Amino acid sequence: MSRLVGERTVRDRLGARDEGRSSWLAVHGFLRPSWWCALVGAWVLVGFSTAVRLPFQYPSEDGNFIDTIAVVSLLVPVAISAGVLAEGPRDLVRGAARSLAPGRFLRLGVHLSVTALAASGIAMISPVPAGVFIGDAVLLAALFALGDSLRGGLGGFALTGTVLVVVTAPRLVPAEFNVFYFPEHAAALAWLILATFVLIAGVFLRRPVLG
Amino acid sequence: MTLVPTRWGLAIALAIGLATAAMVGPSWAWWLGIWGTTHNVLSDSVLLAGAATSAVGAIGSSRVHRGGLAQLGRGAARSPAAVAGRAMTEIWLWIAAGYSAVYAVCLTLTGRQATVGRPEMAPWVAALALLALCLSLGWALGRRLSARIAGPLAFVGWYGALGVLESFAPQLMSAVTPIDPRFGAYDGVPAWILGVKAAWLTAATVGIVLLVSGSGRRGMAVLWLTSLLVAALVFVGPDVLEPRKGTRTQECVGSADPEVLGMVCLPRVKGFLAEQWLREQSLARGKLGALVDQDVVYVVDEPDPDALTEARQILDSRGINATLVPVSSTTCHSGQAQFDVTGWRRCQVEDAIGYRRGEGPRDFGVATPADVLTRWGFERLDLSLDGSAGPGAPILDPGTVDYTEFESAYEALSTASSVSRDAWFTRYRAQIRGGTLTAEQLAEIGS
Repeated sequence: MSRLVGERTVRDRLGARDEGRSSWLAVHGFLRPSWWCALVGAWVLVGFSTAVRLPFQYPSEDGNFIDTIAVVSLLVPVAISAGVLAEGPRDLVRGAARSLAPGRFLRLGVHLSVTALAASGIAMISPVPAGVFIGDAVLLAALFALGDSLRGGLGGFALTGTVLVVVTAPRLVPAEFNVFYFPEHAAALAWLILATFVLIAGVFLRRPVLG
Repeated sequence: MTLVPTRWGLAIALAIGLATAAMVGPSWAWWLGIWGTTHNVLSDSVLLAGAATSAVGAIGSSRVHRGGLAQLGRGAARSPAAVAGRAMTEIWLWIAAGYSAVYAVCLTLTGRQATVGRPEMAPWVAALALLALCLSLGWALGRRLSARIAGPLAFVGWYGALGVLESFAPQLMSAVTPIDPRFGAYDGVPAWILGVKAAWLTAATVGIVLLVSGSGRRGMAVLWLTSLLVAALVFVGPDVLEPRKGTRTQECVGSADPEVLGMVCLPRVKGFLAEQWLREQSLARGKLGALVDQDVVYVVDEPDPDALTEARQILDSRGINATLVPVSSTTCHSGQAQFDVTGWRRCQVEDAIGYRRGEGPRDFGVATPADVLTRWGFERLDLSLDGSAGPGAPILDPGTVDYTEFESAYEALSTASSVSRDAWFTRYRAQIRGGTLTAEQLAEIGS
């Protein structure tokens, strides 16, 4: 009862439901049903959003480019799946007796591969250009991980949100440079994803995402 | 005591400012110099600024509710609604600062050029009220979610909701929100309509604040009253547009003597472009000679019959008897506020040669006489030949199009004296305009 208002303990974070499970799973509790439900729900919403066309971005240009709402809505499932990146409270992470690098690899792998798989699933059943859609999803997921790792807390949203505002604002980035929206820049998008992966390898594996 | 530390406040203002600037910056040529379109594009920018605002609201709310401040608030002497309202007002002030900073920059830039009209207060107030509503919706969303999820969800939610409204119910959006694509250079939404819009947006914000802070019954009452205002706007809003005074009035600038400068008639709202029109007109006449009309007065910016009549009256009163040529804004200057140099130069060449746009694909393999003339005109006016001179520009690049047959004719066209060239243009004017020029006729240049 002597706790300060707002202070949270590890026990608070775990919640009553996880009390009986192994402490590792509980602390890194990304296998909770609520997490999976939120993630699946978010991807279903993304799937629906690919069916809507909002002619905001290049209103005068018709042709083959992915629609803005399909890309912008990727932010939600990516933010939810980035929840797995958090390793736990600061003291627990700093005081770890063993290296956390393997777990960090695993978490990053889950985050990126779940995103890639879900985006591929949607691309199979909806009319979006598949390559650029999956590429966008993976790139956003990687940027989210990078931002979270660099700035913690809201860093991932700040980074991906800024990138999305810049590429989504009408005519701000000319069509010939907008790798997020035009399938013909697939090679450039692939290089961008690769560069982000290299950055993550340098940053994420050293800087844990606390929380 | 402040809830938001200054550095966070500045970050919020910067984020909103950037989101607004990202919307208005790239389209500067469409609004700069005209008050009506400046206000319009600033209202439109609430698409991204509103998404960012609701994300800020959701994150702020999540931090307040999870960080313990909400519990502290329950022990306050004031009502929970007052506590929540105060917290949101503080965030809103930073948001308003970011949005207004960009607003002020845009108005200042337009004020330096505009020739008619004045800045208006009502669109700004209504946009700020809309941002307040975004903030309160984000606040409501962030109460039960973590900031990491609430922020993105609010951002996507607002973007998607407004996007769906704009795409599928544009009339409803114009009627009840300050985002109204119909108001622009010549027509505006009356200030009282924008006032009513600001009123319902503010009332809805208050209702949501009451609702989420435990005053459910009062909140619902306010929202019901708000819905009456919205219903009234749905019936009244779509039809109420008022013309902006003096913007459509024609003015004719320049000299009737074609040798000197030429003349152009344009609506007063575009008066600040008159000098550029005259400069370009005289340049084109000098460079293209008799290929373009010499004894006409252009009436620019998609004139309707009334505008043409008005221009004719002005010319008659000055004793000028020239042919009036209406210039289409869609093909010749893209309907922009700023002068479109490329569009107008291209239009002069293409109209003179009888190029018709949008008639389907042409075979660019082998050049036609019209291609040769167009290439010459484009080169004289420094337009690019690779198809990059505006939407639908012809590709006339010697690397793409085969000019072998006309090499000597092109050489003659380029090197002929202006007198002999003008004589040739005058002789074959009808064929050039009609697109029936033959290779033999083209070969006569310089002979």
